[in-house]
Amino acid sequence: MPNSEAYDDAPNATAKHRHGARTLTSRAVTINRPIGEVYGFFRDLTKAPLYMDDVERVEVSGNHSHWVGKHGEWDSEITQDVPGKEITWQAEESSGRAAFEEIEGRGTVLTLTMAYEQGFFAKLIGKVTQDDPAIQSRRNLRRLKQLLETGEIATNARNQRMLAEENQ
Amino acid sequence: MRALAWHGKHDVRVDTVDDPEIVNPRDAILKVTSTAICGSDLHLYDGFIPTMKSGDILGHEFMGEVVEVGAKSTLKKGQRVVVPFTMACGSCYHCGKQQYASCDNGNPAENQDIGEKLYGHTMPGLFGYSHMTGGYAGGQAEYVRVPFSDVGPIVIPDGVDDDKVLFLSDILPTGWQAAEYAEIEPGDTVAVWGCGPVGLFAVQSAFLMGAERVIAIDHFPHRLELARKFGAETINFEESATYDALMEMTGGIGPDAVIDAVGLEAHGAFVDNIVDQIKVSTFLGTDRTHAIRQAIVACRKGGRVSMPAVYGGFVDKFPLGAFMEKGLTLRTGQTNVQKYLPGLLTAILEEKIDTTFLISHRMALEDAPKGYQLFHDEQNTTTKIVLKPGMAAAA
Repeated sequence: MPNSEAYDDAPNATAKHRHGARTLTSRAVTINRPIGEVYGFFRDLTKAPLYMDDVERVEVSGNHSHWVGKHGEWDSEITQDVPGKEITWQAEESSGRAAFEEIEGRGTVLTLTMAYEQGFFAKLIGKVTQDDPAIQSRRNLRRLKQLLETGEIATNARNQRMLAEENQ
Repeated sequence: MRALAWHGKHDVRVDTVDDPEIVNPRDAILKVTSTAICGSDLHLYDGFIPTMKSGDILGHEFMGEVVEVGAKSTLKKGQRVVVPFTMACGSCYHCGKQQYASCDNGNPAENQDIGEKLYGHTMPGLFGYSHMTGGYAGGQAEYVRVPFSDVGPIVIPDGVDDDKVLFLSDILPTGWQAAEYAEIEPGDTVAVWGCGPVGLFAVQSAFLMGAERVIAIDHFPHRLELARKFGAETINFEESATYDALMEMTGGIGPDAVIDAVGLEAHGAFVDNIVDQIKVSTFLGTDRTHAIRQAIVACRKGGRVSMPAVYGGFVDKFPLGAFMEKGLTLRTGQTNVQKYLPGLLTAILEEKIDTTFLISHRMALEDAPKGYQLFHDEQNTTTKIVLKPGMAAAA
């Protein structure tokens, strides 16, 4: 909740002072497509590898999903699903929420919030290797926007060989 | 294929590199028939633009023949097309408002970080213009991959010479947009700083939009001569004091609109420019901005400032006080090329706009490094170099 004494309506993850042990990151992206399409695409977890660079495969069974990534595997459970509005999930070391809102004339705002354990050194290493969750998720959201708006993901690869190298 | 690659400051070479292929469904591959060296390519040549990598293929003004199309391209093999230098997806919010140069989607996800850090928002994808704008290979090559080929390229009717339409790719729409942003009203006097290609097209465009007088400012006699051919009055800033001349020529009012077509490498032995040069060369600053300062100070009260010129970083001594106190309006930005293409192609075909006057040199692609050096060293007579990949190299 916003801090009412400070008259601050800014989202929690933008707070300058950290509360609690976990790292909170959030990012909003406006996708120029109807809310049903954006929600539906995001809700189909098997499509995640199309736009999540760090994910190779997702196995879904009911609310449970098993994720196979480039740097390991993990399980996740959908804890709440309000179609066209909100999805929340709980994984082993993190939890997250995707909120959807339609804006007249601009499409759908998707706000992704994630909370996770991350020590000082893990954050530092993540920035160097570029697989910090905040960096990954902002790039993943850009790819999702590109895919839904344009039908493809932008690449400067000049040919198939360069594209394959990029995706390694 | 052969392609002109950047290897460092004042070091460009024609290398043999892998051919481009269809990578995404909306792609097309062109066989390049004509490609020009742009004044803004000199900013790369001079090492002013960050995020360049050795081996980057340059060139954002080009046209050619469609030789391959992706499943979702609307082009057909054999068509001749001119390609806008700004990539636009056609389906994001900005493209929907015809703000094509603000397209959200042309730049790969990783490369968008740089623009977001530096400018607050991601930059559009551009051909051959650093990794901040996508790291795409440019068109100074035998072949080029064109993303979003169903939105950008304009098909040229048979029988129309390359030289007539090539400049639809950048400098003609850029000059046109500059004049549009000057919001010209009948009877207006418009002053244009810089008689390079963009400035000269802005002169022509301003008259077509109803300007009564256009005053063009430069120090290269040949470029001033060209401006005069289109009906402009001229000021040679090495011979005369620009501000004083403008005031006297406009009855003390000042030009109603001013256009800065110079940009971040302004010439001239002015105090502020020399300070800028020292700062730039010692990495204390990035841009030399004498022209825009002078334009703001000369502009009439309540007038309009249009800035097609390219700037990359931070400036100081910006006359913010003059800008506020005189109530000026500034419009600027990369060019929304796609918006202007159909109208400008018609204007060329109806001979309302002259484009070929600009070309001073035609060269083989193999001679491109010589072309860069010439364009850099001899700006008076080298107004525009067009590279023809099909032409044999000079002996």
